[in-house]
Amino acid sequence: MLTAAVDKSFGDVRVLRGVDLRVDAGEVHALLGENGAGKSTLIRIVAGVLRPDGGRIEVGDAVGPFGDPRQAERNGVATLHQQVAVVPGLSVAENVMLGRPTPNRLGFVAWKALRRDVEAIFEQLGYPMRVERDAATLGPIERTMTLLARALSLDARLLILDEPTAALTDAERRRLFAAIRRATGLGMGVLYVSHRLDEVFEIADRYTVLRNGRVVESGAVADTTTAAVVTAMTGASIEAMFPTHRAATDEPALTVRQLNGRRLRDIDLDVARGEIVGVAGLAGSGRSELLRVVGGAQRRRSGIVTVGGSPLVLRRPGTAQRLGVVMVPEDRHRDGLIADTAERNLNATTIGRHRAVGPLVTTAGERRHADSLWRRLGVRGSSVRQPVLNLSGGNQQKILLAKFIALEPDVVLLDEPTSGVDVGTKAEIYRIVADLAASGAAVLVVSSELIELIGLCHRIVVLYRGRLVAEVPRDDFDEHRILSACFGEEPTVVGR
Amino acid sequence: MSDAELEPAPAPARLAAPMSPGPAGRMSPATRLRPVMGPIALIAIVAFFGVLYPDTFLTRTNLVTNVLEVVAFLIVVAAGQTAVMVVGEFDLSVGGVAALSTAVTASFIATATLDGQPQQPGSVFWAVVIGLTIGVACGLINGVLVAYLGVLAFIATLGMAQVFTSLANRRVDGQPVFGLVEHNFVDIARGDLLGVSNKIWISMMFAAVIWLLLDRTTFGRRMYAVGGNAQAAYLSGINAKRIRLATFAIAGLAAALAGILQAATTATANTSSPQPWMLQSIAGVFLGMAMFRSGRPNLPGTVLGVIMLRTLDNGLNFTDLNDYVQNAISGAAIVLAVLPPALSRLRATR
Repeated sequence: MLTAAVDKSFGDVRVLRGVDLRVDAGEVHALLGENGAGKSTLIRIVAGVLRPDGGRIEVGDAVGPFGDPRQAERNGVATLHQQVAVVPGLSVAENVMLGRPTPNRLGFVAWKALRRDVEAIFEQLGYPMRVERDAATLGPIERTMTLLARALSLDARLLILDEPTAALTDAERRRLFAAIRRATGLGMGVLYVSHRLDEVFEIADRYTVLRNGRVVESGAVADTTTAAVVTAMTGASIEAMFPTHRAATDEPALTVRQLNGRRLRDIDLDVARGEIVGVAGLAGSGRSELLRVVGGAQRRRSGIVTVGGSPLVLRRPGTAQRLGVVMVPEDRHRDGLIADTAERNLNATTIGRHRAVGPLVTTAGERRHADSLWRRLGVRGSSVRQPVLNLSGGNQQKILLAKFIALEPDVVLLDEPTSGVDVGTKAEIYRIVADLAASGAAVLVVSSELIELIGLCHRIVVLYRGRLVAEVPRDDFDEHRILSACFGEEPTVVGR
Repeated sequence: MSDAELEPAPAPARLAAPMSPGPAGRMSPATRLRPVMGPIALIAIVAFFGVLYPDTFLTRTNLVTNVLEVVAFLIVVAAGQTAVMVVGEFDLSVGGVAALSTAVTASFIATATLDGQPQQPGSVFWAVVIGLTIGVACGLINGVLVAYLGVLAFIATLGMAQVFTSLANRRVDGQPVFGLVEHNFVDIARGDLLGVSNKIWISMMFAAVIWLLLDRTTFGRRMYAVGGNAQAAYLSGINAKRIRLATFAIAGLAAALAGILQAATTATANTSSPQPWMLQSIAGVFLGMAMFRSGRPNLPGTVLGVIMLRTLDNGLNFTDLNDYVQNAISGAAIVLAVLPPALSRLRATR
């Protein structure tokens, strides 16, 4: 269905070097690689957003490269981006038909015909939908399905999915995968980009691994293992990703008693100095809300949170920070980074610290502060003066961590600290987190990747529908049991 | 250069705007030249009209009296507008605030009542203090609406602009208040020091204070953080609401000061004369954003921007062009000036 052989450079940096990729009709083909390996560049070339320097692209009988996204779309390439966009105010049916003539009579929309056509498409996906609904009312899974229906209605031969499950719960993800299977059953080829290897092994037939702009491995998913893929992506093995385990203290640092709030029911939790506690649970189980309440970003209804023995007043994140509690938010673009230089971002939490007289800042102090954090976390880039959004995802994540670490916190709350980050940077972030704990901080980590919690934590607690349903010490870590607790199937609290 | 930089992460459109384009560390020639484009454009405007009208345009009297002294009020208003735009909002009520503060100040020191009866004028000092206080209060109202009640700045300040202007007209019965000559009110603006007019001194000092605030204080750092991403700033421990509130108060103070300066210059308080300031101040900030600090609002840029706009308007006055055509040209010039950075952002995404 797709054959691509392309080269691409930005300036004098070669991003793709003779990359060959073939996606067959009816298959899901996973495109894997760390950030900076060239994945996004490759899919943007196929989708007509970027022009390659050399090489060719064929989709069916159409020969590219395509000059712009519309031309690519006309030739059968449909793309679903990470940020799934529909037009609010229009119905689902109109969104599916967007940009093309809708059935009409003398210029008036023929609603009946339109509804019939579009409902038939959703039928093919096995996802019944009331197509006259306003697209503004759609949840993430419904938006994704709407765009999938649109791709189908366009007779797309190649569908590019870029991190399609980022905003979905596990149940929704299964429905999406079922729909993808239906689409491939109709002869569509799917190019699937995701950082989550568990998903890749669930949905993909074949895979291609990019490293530094070259294809380093390609084959059938059935013939490989997670460990082998990670090794191909990074050149290092999965065990090497986690730092050596160090014992926690038993001095209490963070205590949560009978905490209630939005999505939280009677949470009791203790974290000791030097301890890393993982919070597992499905999306919507209250795991992010727990961090947000303790971090001062969300109101609690009742309950007590104490740090180092003194009760916390949780009015704003700023008040929590003054008492030694920091929360590193999950979505670095929406909640984490300021559209400015890396230096300004690194100083964002400590603006009052570098002062000459009164309210006047010392720019030299700020620069030293930013430089030292930059070096300490091993950010790769030209200098702290560069715009933070020009950095790669992994380096942006380090900047985000750095500005909170700068407060030398006693309690660190990490929400998906490695989301959208390549495997190499993940390992570096694990080391940073372990070092924080070793220096005496209490760490609470939320992650959707169980393997990450198992590798990193001293203890894992499981939330299910706002309640803490299981607590598992490191010696009893068992992927299947923790997973079934996440689904509410094993409501037992394992002793400490 | 390391691998990590090879792929500039595609940021969501919301965040992507104000950054300079191109891979890290290397700037395109257009980006490098941008800081000198503004001054060059200003020199070009002066040269162009100077060649055409050497005896009228290119005189000290014209350039000082008709350009710098007129632009003095606008620099003050635009400095306040810059502050508001730094935090990612804007203030469409600056004209209304100026009208209201001026009307109140004027009514205290006028030598005649609205009916034309002579009256004993009050203290100039207290009248000015009351006028400035009203400006701050108007700004606080805008700030509460936007920061604490979540009304969009666009509609909140647009609506309040009408409220302030109408209250001002109610105070002075829609008439200009003439004869504000008592108690040396006019000396505030008309006097001079070292041969330079007071209003130029005052506007330069005000601009310097705002520059210091934005560029060199912890408050300014917090303002830029809130403007860069309010949610991220809040989660970084910054009290974003309070910062926004204070910023609107600054804009209100600036508008009131500019209105009073203008009233002192003309010895007349007129509720309609500050009305064009809204568009002019926002245009000035945008021009400044196009010139300096990789697309963020900044004070030197704003000052240069309003001077450029005023110089162009003044030069056009010497031509034979119809007034409406002149206005159309200066409007088009604003849009043209912000086009190059807009285009380079567009290119950066290809």
